Amino acid sequence: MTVTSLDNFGHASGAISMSELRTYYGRSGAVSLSGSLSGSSSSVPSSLPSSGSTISISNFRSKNRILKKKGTTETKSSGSSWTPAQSGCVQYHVYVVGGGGSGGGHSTDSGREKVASGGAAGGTAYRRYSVQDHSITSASISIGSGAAGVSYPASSGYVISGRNGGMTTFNPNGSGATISALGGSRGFGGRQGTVGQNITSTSPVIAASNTTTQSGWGICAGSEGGSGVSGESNYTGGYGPGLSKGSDQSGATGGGSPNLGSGGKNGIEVSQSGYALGSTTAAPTKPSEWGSNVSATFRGGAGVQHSSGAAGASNGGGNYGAGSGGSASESGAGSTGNGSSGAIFITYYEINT
Amino acid sequence: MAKRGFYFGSDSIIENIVVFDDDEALTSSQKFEEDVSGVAEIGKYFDVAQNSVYFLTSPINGWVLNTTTWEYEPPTPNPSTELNFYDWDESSESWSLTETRNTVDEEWQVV
Repeated sequence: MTVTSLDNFGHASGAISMSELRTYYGRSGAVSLSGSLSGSSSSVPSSLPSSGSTISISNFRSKNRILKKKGTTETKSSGSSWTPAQSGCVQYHVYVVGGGGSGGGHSTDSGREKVASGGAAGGTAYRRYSVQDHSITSASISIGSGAAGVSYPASSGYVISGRNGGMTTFNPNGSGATISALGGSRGFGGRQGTVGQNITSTSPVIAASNTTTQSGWGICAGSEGGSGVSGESNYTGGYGPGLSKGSDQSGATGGGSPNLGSGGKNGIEVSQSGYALGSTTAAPTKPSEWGSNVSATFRGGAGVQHSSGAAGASNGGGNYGAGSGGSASESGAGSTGNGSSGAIFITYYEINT
Repeated sequence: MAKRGFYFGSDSIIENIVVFDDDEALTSSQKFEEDVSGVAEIGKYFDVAQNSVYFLTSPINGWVLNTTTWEYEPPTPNPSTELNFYDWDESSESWSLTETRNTVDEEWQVV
């Protein structure tokens, strides 16, 4: 993958000097247009006249620098401030991922359906920052917390919604734009909302709420993935699907996995007689520029259900940004795991000399 | 290491739940969750005097704030039994019999 700089030689008009070219392309000592700056052997800059053609200073106007990754992709998972881990860079590529939501819980007795949806994954925003153009030396950050799980008692009819994940923000000094990723929404239990219903901060019910909105014991809304805000690219996280069951069936769905640019993954449904812990939600494809530097799985937690007993705890979301699974029981207690916290990922680029 | 916390606005409403460094020097509008009562969530109120977090209004008409857990609960326990199921009626702010059956082996019948 060829990465080029965002800026355009530092100034869009006016004369360009040889010393300025030398500095801009990270060279030292003597440079020449047909030699060290020709692009033929050094790949700096891109899109110059082909080999053998005459090169002039005007050919360098509106040409971007070819960059190479410097060091490893940094994972920032806590704290309120950031300073670059690498020096001498010309560009930062930043992903922010919001915190994951937690799943809902439901307990009913024999003859009633029991269902719960998993929490959603946080959103993702991606932006490239030019160190030169944006004058970035630090940033104020917020790392969205994963939502706390919820618990429920053995009951003939008890429901509780999950909680929402926190928002992750990267706010650089200088002139660069602030980007944010909203947390994933809560999951729900039976009688809370309907399949496909739009989720807001209050609809169908607020976080950790026992409120019911309809009479269908086996019906619940799915969660809704967080979104990215003000990124060059913004992605919506995967979610825990809603359910609609009848005939005293039981079911739960897993939490969502975040979308890191190639699609989020939705939680997997588990529904069967007896006890069953579902499958962990699929892992999203990570950005290629991270290479092997980020080992986190980003996988949503599995849902859990028991058609004739206590389901117990669902799985929490795997780092980072993933939702936890829902939990549904018959006359038994249970709980849902925590959503995983968000994070910020920074990849550093220097001039490809 | 990291600690879960939150920050709030001038109206004491929680604006975000976040992960701080555990040795972070917090500002006057930031708190570690372990230092307060209740579970922090966006939109909840941080009560300085009580050092607790809770929603200012009950999500369910008639429910009251439990000042130990800082969650809203019905003023009386749900009277449901194996044969009679009650739902909370927000209009009357009381428990209402909604389903019943004669034995535990029967299906529930809507009242």
